[in-house]
Amino acid sequence: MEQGFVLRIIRIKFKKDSTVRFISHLDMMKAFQRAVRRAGLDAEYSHGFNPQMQMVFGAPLSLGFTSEAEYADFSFTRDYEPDEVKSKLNGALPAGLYAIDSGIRTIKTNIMADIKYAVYDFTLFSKLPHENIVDKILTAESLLVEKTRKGKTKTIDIRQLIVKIEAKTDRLKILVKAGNQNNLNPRLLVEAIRKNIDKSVEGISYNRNEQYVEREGKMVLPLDVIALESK
Amino acid sequence: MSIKISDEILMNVEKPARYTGGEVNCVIKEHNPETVKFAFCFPDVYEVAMSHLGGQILYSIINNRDDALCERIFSPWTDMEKAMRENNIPLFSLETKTPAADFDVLGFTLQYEMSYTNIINMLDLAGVPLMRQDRGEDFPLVCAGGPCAFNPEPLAEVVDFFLIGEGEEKINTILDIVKKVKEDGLSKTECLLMLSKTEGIYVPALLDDCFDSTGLRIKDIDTVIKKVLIVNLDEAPYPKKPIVPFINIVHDRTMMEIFRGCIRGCRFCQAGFIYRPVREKSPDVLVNEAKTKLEATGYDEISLASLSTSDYYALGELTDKLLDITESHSTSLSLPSLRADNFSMELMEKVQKVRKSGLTFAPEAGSQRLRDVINKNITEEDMLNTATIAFKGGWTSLKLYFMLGLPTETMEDVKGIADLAWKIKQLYKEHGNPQRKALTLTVSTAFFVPKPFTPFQWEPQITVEQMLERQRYLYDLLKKSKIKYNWHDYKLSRMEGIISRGDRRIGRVIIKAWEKGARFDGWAEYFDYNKWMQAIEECGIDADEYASRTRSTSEILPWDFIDIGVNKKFLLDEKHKAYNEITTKNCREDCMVCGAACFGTGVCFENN
Repeated sequence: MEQGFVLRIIRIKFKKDSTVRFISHLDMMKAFQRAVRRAGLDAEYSHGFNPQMQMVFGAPLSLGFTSEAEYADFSFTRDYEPDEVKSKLNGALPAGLYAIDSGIRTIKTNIMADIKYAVYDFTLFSKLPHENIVDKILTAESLLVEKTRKGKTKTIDIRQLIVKIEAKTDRLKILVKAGNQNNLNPRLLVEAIRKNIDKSVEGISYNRNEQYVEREGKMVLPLDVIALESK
Repeated sequence: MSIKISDEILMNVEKPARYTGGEVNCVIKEHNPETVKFAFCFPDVYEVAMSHLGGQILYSIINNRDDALCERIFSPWTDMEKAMRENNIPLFSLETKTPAADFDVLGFTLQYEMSYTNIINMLDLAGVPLMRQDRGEDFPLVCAGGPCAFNPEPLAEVVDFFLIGEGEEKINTILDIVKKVKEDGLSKTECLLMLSKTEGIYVPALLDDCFDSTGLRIKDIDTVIKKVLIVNLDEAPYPKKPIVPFINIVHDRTMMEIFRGCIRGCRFCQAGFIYRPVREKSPDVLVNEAKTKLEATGYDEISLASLSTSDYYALGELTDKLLDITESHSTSLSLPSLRADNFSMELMEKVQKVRKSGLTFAPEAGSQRLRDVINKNITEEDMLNTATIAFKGGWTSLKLYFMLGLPTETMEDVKGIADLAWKIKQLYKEHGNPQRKALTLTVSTAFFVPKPFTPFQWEPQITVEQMLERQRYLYDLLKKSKIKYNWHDYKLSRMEGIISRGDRRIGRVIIKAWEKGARFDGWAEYFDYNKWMQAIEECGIDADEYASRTRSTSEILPWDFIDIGVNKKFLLDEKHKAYNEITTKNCREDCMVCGAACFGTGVCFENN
């Protein structure tokens, strides 16, 4: 293993299960930083008054959500193998966070900037059959809902943020826009359904299934894109 | 039985991670019937509770045993309490969400008097009767320890037994007894009798016939409870795997206790007497401890903890060795509680290579005369010299801490606070760089609260009127000099003054105040003085009798049956010296034969 002016970026795919669903995005990042230190992995730090471990996470996950597909890019000063990082992290992470896959990132774009789509599923309690709700959403020209952010409320149309939606027994599965530009939180979708379609709906046990980046108009998995482009 | 808390509740409370547990290094054990189940209860919110080192120590000792388990239970914040009451959720532990009432022992730590209503509230949320006489065999034993347990009487009708002194010394004995009681199916009374034979354990029920039905003492107490302590800190257990919280807590770093006690003997300071004698850990033990803890936690900061870091006997050696570790671990080192002297400045230069932000002095009193009265051996010259070096070295912020209402204080002494602050402000103009960055100078005052086991235990607290007068006077002076002033709420200080030297009758006031809704009294946004005043009135108590009365030195004080090693005669001598403005040398300079040598350890034997 080489040491010196090495900078190796490893992309990790990890799970966040229900025991840690109330750990916020920022606290989870801190938990990862401490796990890297406990694992004895040599991380790259920013150079400045207050050195920060170099790590970038994908789209933040809402408080209370579980996920099967979170992503983060970690920078190391040693040329670790992806599997080594994965297993060392798993020896150090708190219960409920599990690294499930990893790869070397050679592309420039980090995960946070790259995420464009996300798949969620969640349980929806409603009076109407789910098929009806799905139909109404798909045939609607617009789906207006109020969004409050930093004390300001504005009405937005979320229809064009929904790419795919399907009913599966008592759960809805959706493919939506995600990332810095356009992002749809499934809670906001439930709010829109309540406003526009069925007043009685309640959503629970939200889960993120997957996240995607986009290349040449196609959805690509974040761990495939690093391999594709490095070839 | 494990409690389920719905997502709906957790989504609607502030910081739900306060209640979900699962942190790195928390210990989850199976609840077998024969296992002794101890709940470490901290009567404040998670972020405060998790910053407490003692809790982590007890947690690791208990969980290291195969026959016992320890889980944590903290005060739910007011939003969570509301949700719990609305949904009939009993108080539960963080590890396994087990109801508090299912534990064998609920062990509360008493860190400050204003957390007492939270203890009552926690028992109530647990469905455990508040008064010990109402708790039958089916309810857990309720015990308490920590600094405020040195005057146990305000909670003597709530708590089954107190541990006076350092908990880690006797926790195993306590668990052994509870285990035997469980195995042999003995009664609670038998259990308490067995516990009462252990050194340092006070079982208030055994003294009940010394008090009348109002909690007033009617008979002499012939019991003496002697505090227990760790004789050799180097061999004392420390948590090798401290719990690492997910959310930010007050002290979010690796804490290293470098010594216990304090050689200084400031006359207002309870910790300076109850933790005598000073016992230190050696640098090599601490360096190993630091490595172990950093590797187990992943923290990026180490902080030294003690009452006065500068008094550690090998501070230079320790910081050098710790810096070796921190540099190789991308970790920083912080040194709180430094004295205002040159050596400290050199240390801070060495340690804080990057940020030169805050410098703090705690002269406590504004005049040399009053500093002599309280035996705070720091001179104006020391402070001005240190400030000069600091300003020349680039520091731009300085905080000054004082107390108002110290014994013998006059308006002249109060003026001394403003004068000192003014001199420091002028120094910055001379030695700092006011063009580049203005000096941030803050004066903070708290009101003096007389505490048991100090030379000032007989002193009156100044009245509310005097408090306001002195605070106002200082406010005007500092305003004229354009110096920032922070002050404590006089009402809170007054309540502390009433409770800290309280007796069993004050216990009734605490429960009454809780009934009226008092909670989180240490938190300015929740403290409600009126509720307390009503409770005091309804209990027929004269608040002045507790707070602002000069106690005769022949009076039997509620805590006199506790023996801290330091004898009363010494405290009395110190009181007289205070009035004569005579200072006392620190333990290292000269032994004043306070009595703490009876423990056969520590600084008392350093030169032998």
